[in-house]
Amino acid sequence: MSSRKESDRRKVIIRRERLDRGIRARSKDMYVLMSYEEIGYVILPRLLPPLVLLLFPLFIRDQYWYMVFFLAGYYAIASMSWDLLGGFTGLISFGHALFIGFGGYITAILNVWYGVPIYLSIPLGTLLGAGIGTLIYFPCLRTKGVYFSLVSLVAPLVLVGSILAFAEITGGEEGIYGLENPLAEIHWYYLITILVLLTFLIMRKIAYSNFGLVLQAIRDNEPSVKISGINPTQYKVIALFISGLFASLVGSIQAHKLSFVGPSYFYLSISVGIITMSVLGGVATIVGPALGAYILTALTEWLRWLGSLRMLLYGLILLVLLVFKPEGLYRYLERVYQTFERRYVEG
Amino acid sequence: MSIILKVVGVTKRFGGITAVNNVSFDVKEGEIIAIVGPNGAGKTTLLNIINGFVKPDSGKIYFRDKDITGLPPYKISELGIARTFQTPRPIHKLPTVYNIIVPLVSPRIKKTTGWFGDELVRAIDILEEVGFERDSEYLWKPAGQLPHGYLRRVELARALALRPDMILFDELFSGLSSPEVRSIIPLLMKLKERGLTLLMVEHRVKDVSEIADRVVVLHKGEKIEEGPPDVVLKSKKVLQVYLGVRESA
Amino acid sequence: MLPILIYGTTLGFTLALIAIGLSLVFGVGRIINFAHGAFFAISSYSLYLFFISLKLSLIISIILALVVTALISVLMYVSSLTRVRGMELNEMIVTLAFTIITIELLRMYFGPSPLGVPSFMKGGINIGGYIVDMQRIFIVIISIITLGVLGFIVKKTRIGIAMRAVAQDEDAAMLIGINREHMCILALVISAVLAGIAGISITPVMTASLEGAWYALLNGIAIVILGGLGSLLGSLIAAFIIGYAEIIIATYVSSHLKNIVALAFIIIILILRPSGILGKHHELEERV
Repeated sequence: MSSRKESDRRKVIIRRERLDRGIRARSKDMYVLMSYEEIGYVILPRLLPPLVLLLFPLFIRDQYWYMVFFLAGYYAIASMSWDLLGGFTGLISFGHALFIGFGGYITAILNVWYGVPIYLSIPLGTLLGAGIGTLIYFPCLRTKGVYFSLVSLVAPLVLVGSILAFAEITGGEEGIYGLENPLAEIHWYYLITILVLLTFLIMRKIAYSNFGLVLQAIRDNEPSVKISGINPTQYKVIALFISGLFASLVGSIQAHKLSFVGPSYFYLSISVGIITMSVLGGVATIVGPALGAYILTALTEWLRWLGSLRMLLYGLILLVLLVFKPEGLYRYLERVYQTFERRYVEG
Repeated sequence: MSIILKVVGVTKRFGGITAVNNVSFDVKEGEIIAIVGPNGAGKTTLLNIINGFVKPDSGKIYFRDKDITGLPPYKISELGIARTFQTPRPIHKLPTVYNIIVPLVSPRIKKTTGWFGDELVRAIDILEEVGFERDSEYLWKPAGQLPHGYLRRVELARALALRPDMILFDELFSGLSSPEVRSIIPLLMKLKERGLTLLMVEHRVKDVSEIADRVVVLHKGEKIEEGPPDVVLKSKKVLQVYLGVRESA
Repeated sequence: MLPILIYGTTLGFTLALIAIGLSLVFGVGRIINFAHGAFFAISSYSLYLFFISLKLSLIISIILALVVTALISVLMYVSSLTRVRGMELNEMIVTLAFTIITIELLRMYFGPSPLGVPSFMKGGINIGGYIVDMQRIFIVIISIITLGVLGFIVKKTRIGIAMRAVAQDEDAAMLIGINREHMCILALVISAVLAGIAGISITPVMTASLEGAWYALLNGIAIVILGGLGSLLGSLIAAFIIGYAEIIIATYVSSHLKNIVALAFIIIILILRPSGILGKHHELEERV
């Protein structure tokens, strides 16, 4: 939130300066941008991560790393979309994989059974996936946030069963194979990376808009929003749908990339992974969850020998973080960076 | 003066307790009406019923001849009834200014003033009107960190931001020092001059005797007296209720 | 028809024990305890450990299994839950993390495949031409006894009254000298024991499995929402509704769709009556 606040404060100050020119107001940010070093301090941390992500394939030509970073990007988008709900709206989703699963399955059904080409199956799968997911959750949005959390834990666990029951459409245990996959590993990597950057920009735009303010108000104090003449349910539904869009987008992209969908798309381990990454990176920061996704994906790759103990790792990280350090990595880094910057600038 | 709000035979029970029992009264447009009563008289419940948080078991509420009984709170706010809470309920983590932006982006404002536009400036204007300094650091602090007296003003600002026709105040004066009360009264009078209808729920008749045009006295969920403040203050029934309360307290 | 009635009743009682515990903890401590399924699994695995692996006698194994389950619930509360008390969302995440850790540790130690435990009592009883095995009779009897004892504790004893006081009005209860945290831990222990009794008695029928934890949790949640958050009687009624419905669906439609019954009920009740069958919570909540 700090960034919208700073820019709003500046707006107010500049407007006042125009009114009474005698007074010179100086905001901290204006002062910082006075030399190249200081410009560097402001811009570098914002520019470096996207540059690294976009340029690293020029130096590393290993398919394996493209795969790992694709996965990280996949989780980054899902975690940022989770953050809009969990961090900003106060709707903790314990089953974000529901959207991923719906996106994936609908895309696969469209592409394999009906021959819909990839450039249509992904957008359609995304829209329908988000739509159906929102429809399922709609009844619990009218009540308190707890109900949403409860239902979001139950829904994906239960829907896996129904996938097995309708085996002739969903392929049952084996899933659906043979989705169209026209792209090479590196192209998939670039696709997901660009989508990560886009998702970040869009999510931040939403979070800092008036819409995002209302979402945060709903999280903090729903009765106050109601008496402000705003229907919280409507805002929650829209937030859920937007969040669902991004989650089912990664589901349908994943489906095409692997040429396969199966019950694993709905697995709890994915949902828990998303929560762990968001908590690790810092809830309600948008960047944080993406950061958490890259770090945790790299960590799990590095600890491959753990195998199925990955869940244990997630569980332990979640427990320890929430109990001892709930602020998250991003806020911590931001603080360290700011003290560093202040010391440098002031002497 | 036309009647803006009509409360007809409203009853609400919680379990075995009847919180509000067959209460009826009218509110005229542009007046200040006070609902007064000792603790547990059902004042806040009545307010919650008018505002839509609680659905009455029986009875009707009309706002400008439209039946609003049982509508959700946001609909009632949209029609033009704003309210404040007894214990201020700010949006704790958001800066004070953004607390006021929330009502400014509601459908009601969109309808009455066209497109939203510069809600940031408007929010600051409204906060200034209720007594914040334009340059005050408080405007940018998370509302949860403000002192109590200021939170009352934030509540007031949030209600005003809705551009309501009528405001319901839930014990606006409770917990405020007398200078603070004195600083709010001119503001209320200004709102009255602007044509707003104010409904104030208060603990004691004396608190509102200066400003209220009419007083409704509730006791154990029932209306026992209604009239101008000086008349009500002399009423036997009211004296009995209040003396009784004082003795037991 | 008769088998449905028999299986439905057994399942209903087991689910009732699970859900009432969940509901109790929510009512008293306002905690949504996602670790409830873990308690269920811990009890069945510790029964296996004591009874099969260590070859202790049945009664001692059952008692030890219940003690272990109760101790672990206290451990969870003291070690992690106290630090996030009051933050509803963090509580949920912490209890979920606890469940995951438990399940993975159980998987590490006992392996991923389900483990069988023989019936406590051999033989069966002929009911209307259908032979019901003793284990199911045992489940019904032990559940009725447990529910009776629970009812007595909640309604008649000082502790039960104190717990209900906390559930109704925390502040007032604190004023008359009831320690909220103690009541919370107590409710958690009772709920763990209830889940333990359910887990132990059904293990010979269902085997001790990791999926059991999720099964217990998701059905527990469904029942609690259906019955009304915090309402014990509502949970009891809802447990039987869901129990019978699951058996009917599993028999006539498909056993894969068994679990979807839970979700369907949640969604229907949230549309029709969000406070649940007997819940008053919603109405109280709207009192500002």
